[in-house]
Amino acid sequence: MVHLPLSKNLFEHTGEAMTGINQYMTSDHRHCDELFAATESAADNEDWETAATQTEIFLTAMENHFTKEEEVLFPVFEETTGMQQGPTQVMRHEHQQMRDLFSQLRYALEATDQDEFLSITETLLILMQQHNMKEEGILYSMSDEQFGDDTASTVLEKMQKIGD
Amino acid sequence: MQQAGLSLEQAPPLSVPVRFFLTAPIFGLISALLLIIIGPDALVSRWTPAMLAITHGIVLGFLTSIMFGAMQQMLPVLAGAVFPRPKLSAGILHVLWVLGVLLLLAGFLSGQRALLIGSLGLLGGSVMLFGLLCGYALVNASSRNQSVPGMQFAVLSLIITVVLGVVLGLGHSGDLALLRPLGTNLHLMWGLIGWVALLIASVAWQVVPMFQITKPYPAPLIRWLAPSLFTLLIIHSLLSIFALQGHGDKIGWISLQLMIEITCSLLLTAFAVYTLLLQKNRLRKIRDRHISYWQLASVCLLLSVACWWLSNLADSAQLKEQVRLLSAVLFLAGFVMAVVTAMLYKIVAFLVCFHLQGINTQRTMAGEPGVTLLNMKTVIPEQRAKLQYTIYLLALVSIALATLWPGALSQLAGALWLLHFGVMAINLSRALFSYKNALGTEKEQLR
Repeated sequence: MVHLPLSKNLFEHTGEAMTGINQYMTSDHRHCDELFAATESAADNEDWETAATQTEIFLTAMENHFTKEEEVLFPVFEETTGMQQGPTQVMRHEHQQMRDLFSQLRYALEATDQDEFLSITETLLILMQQHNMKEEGILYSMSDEQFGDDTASTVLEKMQKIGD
Repeated sequence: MQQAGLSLEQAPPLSVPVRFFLTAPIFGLISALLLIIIGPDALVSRWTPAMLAITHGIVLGFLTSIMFGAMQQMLPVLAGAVFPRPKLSAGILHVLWVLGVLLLLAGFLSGQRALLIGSLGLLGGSVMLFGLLCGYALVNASSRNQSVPGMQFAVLSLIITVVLGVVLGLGHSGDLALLRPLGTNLHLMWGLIGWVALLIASVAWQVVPMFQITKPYPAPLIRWLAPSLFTLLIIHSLLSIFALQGHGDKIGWISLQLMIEITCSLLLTAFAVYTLLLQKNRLRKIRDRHISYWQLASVCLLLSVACWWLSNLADSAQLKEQVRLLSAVLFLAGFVMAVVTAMLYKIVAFLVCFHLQGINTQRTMAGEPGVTLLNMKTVIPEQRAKLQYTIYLLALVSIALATLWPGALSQLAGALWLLHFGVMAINLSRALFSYKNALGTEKEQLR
């Protein structure tokens, strides 16, 4: 008979209160999702003026989020866990992939090319979501587990200063 | 917690899921051809050899193949659950599975014992292998995603389904007594509800909110749906076996079974209704075919449950059988096929873009010329995805009606499904050609 870990954490997988870093950064993800939806809707309605404004708001929020991670959270994570080439490297790599799409999105916006714009947002959405899933499921929860209370609150404070 | 879980190796090579995705439509084509050749006779009853070959071609050859491929892709991302030696294990699993399904279809159609016995060994072996691989990956997983428990129950249900299938298969080959209808009903129940519906629900907890930017499903539904359905199926199975052996108070057991069936129906209904409600209030408001597939799937699930109960009102045994067949068709060709088609298109298009971007970054960092980057709608152009959806709708309506009027509609339905799987095979192959083209003329293996 195959052994599957049925009892291991079976009932701890959902609805648990998220704490500290995970909670803060997850709500940051949801905020970016909302901005993404507004950006995409504007382009879908061919309202290019709104699309231009929304794209900038969305991309600024994304860049702020990346800055929080790359400049505050990841270095502390690497130092605390001793994992320099692990999860954070993969996350930085995916940030770069998203930044490539951001520049393509700006080109499409300038050209008011709806098909191209929506095609890029389609790709970006999935890239973003699978990235968020890995961060929320693994990286943020590990941070909450492994950082001491003091480190966690310093990290949170520094990230909050960067803005949304 | 295993800390090395999240690494660059986490996403498996493209060839791992893709081999399953590419052979799947071939089984779809085979099943559609069988329906055209055999015609109305196939749909007369659940028991005809042709009907068995067609349903197993679709459920094992098409649907389960895609689910195997998708799980090998998704478990590492969802839960940091990495399969050991992903390329080798996918290769072995794929060969055993494809051969097993082919032999099974040949066995049903020819009635030859050797073919049936051979297929049972291969299918049983590959499902055990898949169970072991999932078990290994999940034990070493680095996170507990909310989809994981449901997937575990789904894989356990698949194992139970296949064990029952092997027992039934040995009945067909004449090696054991043929346990009809009890064995078949249990086999169907575990396969359709335990394996397929639980897996789809577990995937839905993630992908519906993700792809359409909706609120999450209610936490109690996520937490309890899979364990409750699994437990109900276990109790239902035990009661059926005891009742058959003539133990105890038969009336009491029948009413208990009825209550279990009602609860199962309510759980599936809750899942479908919540999916529709979440989608109705989604933040992502753009016109998107993916959402139409999911809405259609949810409606078909509701209709399937309704037909199951309506069949009890039929005034003849034949009508009852036909309405039950309609319920099964709405479940498989409607609910499951819509979700699987939607997911397949998203996953393949995304993986092609994702892997190209990865290769591009590696090459640029190494100072080599990069590759042409694609986006999802260049990989599978809108027009071709739209054609797929239109043909699918026609095929679905025709097969649903063919269960009621097999004489007039079976072959038309077969032809439309042939078209459906043909368009799918072409779209998926072209997506992978675009990947190879983007890599340039150099001989580059699928990573």
